[in-house]
Amino acid sequence: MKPLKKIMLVEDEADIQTVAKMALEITGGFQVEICGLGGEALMKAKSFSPDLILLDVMMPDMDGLSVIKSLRDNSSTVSIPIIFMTARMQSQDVLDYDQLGAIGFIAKPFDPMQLSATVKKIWEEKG
Amino acid sequence: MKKFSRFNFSPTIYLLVSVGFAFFSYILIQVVYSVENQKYINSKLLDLQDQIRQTFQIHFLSLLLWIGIIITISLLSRAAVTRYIKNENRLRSILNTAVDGIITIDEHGIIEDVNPAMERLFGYSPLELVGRNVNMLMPEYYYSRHDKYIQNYIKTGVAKIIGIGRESVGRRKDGSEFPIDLAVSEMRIENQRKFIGLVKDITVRKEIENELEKQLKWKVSLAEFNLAVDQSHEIRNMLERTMQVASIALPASAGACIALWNGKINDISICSSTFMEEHEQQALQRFIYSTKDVPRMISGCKPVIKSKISKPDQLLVGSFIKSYLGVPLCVENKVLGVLFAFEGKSRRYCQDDVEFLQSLANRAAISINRVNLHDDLQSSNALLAVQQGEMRALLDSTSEAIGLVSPEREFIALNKNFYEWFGIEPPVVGSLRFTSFIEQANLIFEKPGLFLSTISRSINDLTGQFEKMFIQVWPERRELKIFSTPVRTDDGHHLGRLFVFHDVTREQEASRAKSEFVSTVSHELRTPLTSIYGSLGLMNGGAAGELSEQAKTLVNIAYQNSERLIRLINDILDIEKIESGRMVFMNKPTLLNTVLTHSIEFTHTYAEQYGISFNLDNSYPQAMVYVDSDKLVQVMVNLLSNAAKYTIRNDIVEISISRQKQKMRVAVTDHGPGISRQFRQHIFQKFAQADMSNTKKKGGTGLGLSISKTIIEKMGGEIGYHSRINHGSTFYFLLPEWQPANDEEGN
Repeated sequence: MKPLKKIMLVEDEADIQTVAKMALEITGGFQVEICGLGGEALMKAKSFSPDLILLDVMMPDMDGLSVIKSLRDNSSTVSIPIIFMTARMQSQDVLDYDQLGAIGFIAKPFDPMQLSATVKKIWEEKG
Repeated sequence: MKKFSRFNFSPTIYLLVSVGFAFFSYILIQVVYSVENQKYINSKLLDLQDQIRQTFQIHFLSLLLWIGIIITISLLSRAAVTRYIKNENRLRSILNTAVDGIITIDEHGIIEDVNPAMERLFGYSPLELVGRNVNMLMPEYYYSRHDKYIQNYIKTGVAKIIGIGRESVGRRKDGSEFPIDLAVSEMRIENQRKFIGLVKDITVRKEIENELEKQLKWKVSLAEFNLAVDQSHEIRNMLERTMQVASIALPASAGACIALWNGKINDISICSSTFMEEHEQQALQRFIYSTKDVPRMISGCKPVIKSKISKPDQLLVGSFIKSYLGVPLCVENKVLGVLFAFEGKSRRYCQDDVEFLQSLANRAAISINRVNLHDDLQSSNALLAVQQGEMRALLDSTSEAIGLVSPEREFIALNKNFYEWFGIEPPVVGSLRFTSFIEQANLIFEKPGLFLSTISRSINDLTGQFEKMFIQVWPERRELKIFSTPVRTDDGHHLGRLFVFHDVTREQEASRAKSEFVSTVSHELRTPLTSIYGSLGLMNGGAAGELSEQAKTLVNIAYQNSERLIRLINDILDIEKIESGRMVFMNKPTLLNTVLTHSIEFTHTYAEQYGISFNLDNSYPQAMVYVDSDKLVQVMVNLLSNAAKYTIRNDIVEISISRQKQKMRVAVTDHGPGISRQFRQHIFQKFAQADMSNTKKKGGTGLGLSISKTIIEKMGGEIGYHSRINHGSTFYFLLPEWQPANDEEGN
């Protein structure tokens, strides 16, 4: 299995971007690329070629569900594992995430000190 | 008479003998004469002697002839006399032994002769009658009529009685009168006109005729009565007609009355009577209330006969009443009242009288009963109509559409909303056919197949209730919550199944809006919380560098409270999901041990801060349950964190698994202070917490056990606890054990 190094974080909230990036870098040693918008994520996914995408759901330009569909429709990004990181944790939402091909989800607020471990665990189990 | 009786031949024989003798004589003469004549012719030589002798012979023969004739006449006369005497004797015998009276009078009406029967009929001896006027045998009011008959006949020859016969009235010696059949014939003797009367006592015949006439009259009266009362629906008319028939047909010459009884002691009232005068009516009332005959008739249902009032003051109606007959008005062993028929003279009521009046009373009772039933029915119908109207108004005023369906699949009742909501035109006559509604259901509902199968199944279900949601799409969109229950009458008869369609469109929309609001608010809260919690977490974890002790303490306080805030938000969301019915359970066969292990892993860090450790004692590591594992972890984490929070420091919380019948029991036992008795009844309620000051210290939300209880029950289990003060508490839940066979059956 390819080692997990490059993570692209798609998150519109700047504070969360900071906290998550710091947590992933400090506790996991990952290379983190931040995208503030969904459309930006579609472009950077090709150029950055992340090993994993942490994807927020509620975003202003296009939501995470649309983003994942677009990524799945593109041959260059179709195989990138995606974990939703969201405050929307209703049962129906979880079903939707699963059906769209996400390998897992992390509920917000997350424990920053456990974030890297959680990501790694999902990666190893389903990635 | 005796002498004649030896030769008592019939006159015919006498006549035959006489004629025979004469004929013989004549033949003899002729023979002798012819022989002699021939001799004279042939011989022509007879001598004188011979001529003398011939002459002598002829005279002798003539003499013989005359003697024969005389004897014959004598014999004939004697026979006639004998016959006359015999006939007279016979006639006298007939007259003497005749049952009917025979009387002979002259043209002045003087009696000349009577037979013995007249004595028997009229009581007069023949000596008392003969020579007196026949008027003595008639009532006085017949005298002049009789004289007129005779005189008129003599003058004009026009017969009214004579030669015709008619019914009349005779008067006996004792003055009593009796009906007779009188036949008079006329004869002339020695040029005098005589009249012979044949008198027959027709008392018995008249009695029979009268009886037959009475019976016929009664039958006609009863038939007319029946016809009249059958067409009448008014009790008053019926009562008056009853009394009219009683008065005329029985008869009841002094009047009649009917008093009706309402079934209570002494509660009888006169409803109709022939007594017109006020004082008579008052007297009648006193009589009805005071006489013992009324309660006697009511209790015994038998008639009362008073043939003669010995003490007139007992009968308060008036002294003119001398006898009466009373009969009860009975129908189906129930007494409705009494009918009295009064007489102004003593009367020996016969059995026929009683039977007639009782028949009349029975028929009247049947009719009264029928009218009462008819009135009751009308009252009931009117009441029913009012109640139906009220029920209809009640049904129509409800905000639901309601339909009651019989087991035979027909609508028993539908309200206005039912027709309006489903765009159905109410039929002009009767109710909507169930089949018509079923046909229309395809158009009305979003999932008609599901709707129809649900309805169809439930109609045959005599016990179960259900509540289901259906979406209506035509003629307008509605979200309908259908509640259905079988309906039984008070006596347990299954009437049908009730379907109540509750329009929950607005509630659903409001609920969705509320959920959306809660969800949005939660999300909006989570976003800044994520930053706060994340930042504090990193600082608390040392990711941002080393902090001073004071800073560490403060950051830790902030970190723990942000954690608490997160739990609160999560719990509120869970409660909202439970209450809105949108908590989805993704049940699947789950290894119970895995759930417990994960739960302990998730909680042990939290428990460590209280010095608490967990000890899992699992004798059933392979036991499986059919659950949503995340939800069960949530429950288990709640129980473990509660145990950690509320037990004594450094306690070891025991987690044990056991099997009870076909259920797995998981118990979490602490050795803390136990649950106070006051709190036990609230323990599974929302926002219930053992001690507010303690809660603040422990940082709970008070929603955990309420959520846990709902989750366990939704997964087919049950949750409970037992606790001893100062010894600790055990919280447990039971879940059906999953077996692979269960899966094959559809799980």
